Amino acid sequence: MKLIYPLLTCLLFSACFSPWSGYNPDPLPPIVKAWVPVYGPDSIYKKVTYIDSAYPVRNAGKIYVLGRYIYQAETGEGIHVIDNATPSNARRIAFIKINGCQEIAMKGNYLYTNNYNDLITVDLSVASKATVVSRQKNAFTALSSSSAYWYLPPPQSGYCVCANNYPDSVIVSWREDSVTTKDHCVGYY
Amino acid sequence: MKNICFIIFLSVIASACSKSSSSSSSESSSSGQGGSLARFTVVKNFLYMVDWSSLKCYDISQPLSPVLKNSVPLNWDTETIFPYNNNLYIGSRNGMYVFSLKDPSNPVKLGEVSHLRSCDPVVANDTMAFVTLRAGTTCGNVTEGLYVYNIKDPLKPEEVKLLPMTTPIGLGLNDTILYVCRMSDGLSVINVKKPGEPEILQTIKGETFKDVIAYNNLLITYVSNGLILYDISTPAEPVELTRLTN
Repeated sequence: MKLIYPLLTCLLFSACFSPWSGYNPDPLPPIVKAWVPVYGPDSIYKKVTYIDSAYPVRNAGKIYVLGRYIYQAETGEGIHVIDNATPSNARRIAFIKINGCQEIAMKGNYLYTNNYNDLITVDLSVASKATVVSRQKNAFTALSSSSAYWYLPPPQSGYCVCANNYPDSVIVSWREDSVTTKDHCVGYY
Repeated sequence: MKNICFIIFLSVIASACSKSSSSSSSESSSSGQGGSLARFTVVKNFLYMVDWSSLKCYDISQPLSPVLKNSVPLNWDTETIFPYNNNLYIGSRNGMYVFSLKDPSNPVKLGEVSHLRSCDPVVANDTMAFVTLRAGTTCGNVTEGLYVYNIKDPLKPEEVKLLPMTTPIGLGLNDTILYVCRMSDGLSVINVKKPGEPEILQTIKGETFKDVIAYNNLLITYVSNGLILYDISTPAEPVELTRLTN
């Protein structure tokens, strides 16, 4: 009994991300207002840059500490660098722009994080620089279903057009549009 | 199909509840320390990460070319990873797993405890593991609270105590004091000197607390709008030092 609610929700929920789904919540009106994924090229959205100043906090994320620095993810956008040399005067000094980022682990000067569903190694040894030295594409898509976690979900619940996994682009936002349900894979988020 | 759907459902929502990390020092090749919600952790020359269905192990002795050494299948709802003493403690929606890193490229499951669906980061010391379970619409139906497991025998973790509390999530341990984040219900400071009788000493309110790192005398807290640092020279009495909130 307990399972019913999550299962139902998931059936509705997952279709936006499921590459194989074709599952439609039933019955669907012929035309619905739906979230449509907007794709951006990897060449732009998977670019990593170092910003030499504090960056606004909108969606604070996970934390990590190494030596005099604290790192905090700005979920989906990058990583704040906090100088903690004097904890009573700790401050944000820089931001590493990494779209799709949620995770942080480090060893020495190397930062390991996710850039959407790629595992990247970022070399921070040169001041004011963040250089991607290794990228394992789709490291987190051993299951095709896994893409869901690493991608940006629609901003609000509602109908959505199923997302695709493209080799050279990622979902960067969602727009609302009228969608003809017989022509599109439509789910519910 | 249903299973696959469920995986996606949980995994997407999982971003709300996700965890981990390792020991600290400041030499140039050392790893740092993450919070209990981390999915990535570095232990020596290996990076371990959990997605919702597997534990992946990368050899990072050559940082420019990490090599995937192993992908161990797990249940489909894995969320957090916490390294301690050459073991990995993995929190998932339906249990806690203990993996041995005796062979660091080949993590081997030692033991597990199962519970109902929930969100559950873990921290551990030599003999005890502390797990928070949170109920709610995205996390299932359990008695919310702090669960204490005896892990002297990692093959058979045993529940020794459930301390009910509302909305616990990330947690961190500093010797005999445990800090438990409870979202808008605050940050609870808990004496776990007698692990079977955890005692809430105080609860700091006023922010939405999600995770902590106890780092020497510093408590780094992740709150919904940024970061707050506390001095914990007296571990039972955190003193606010700085807030980096928006």
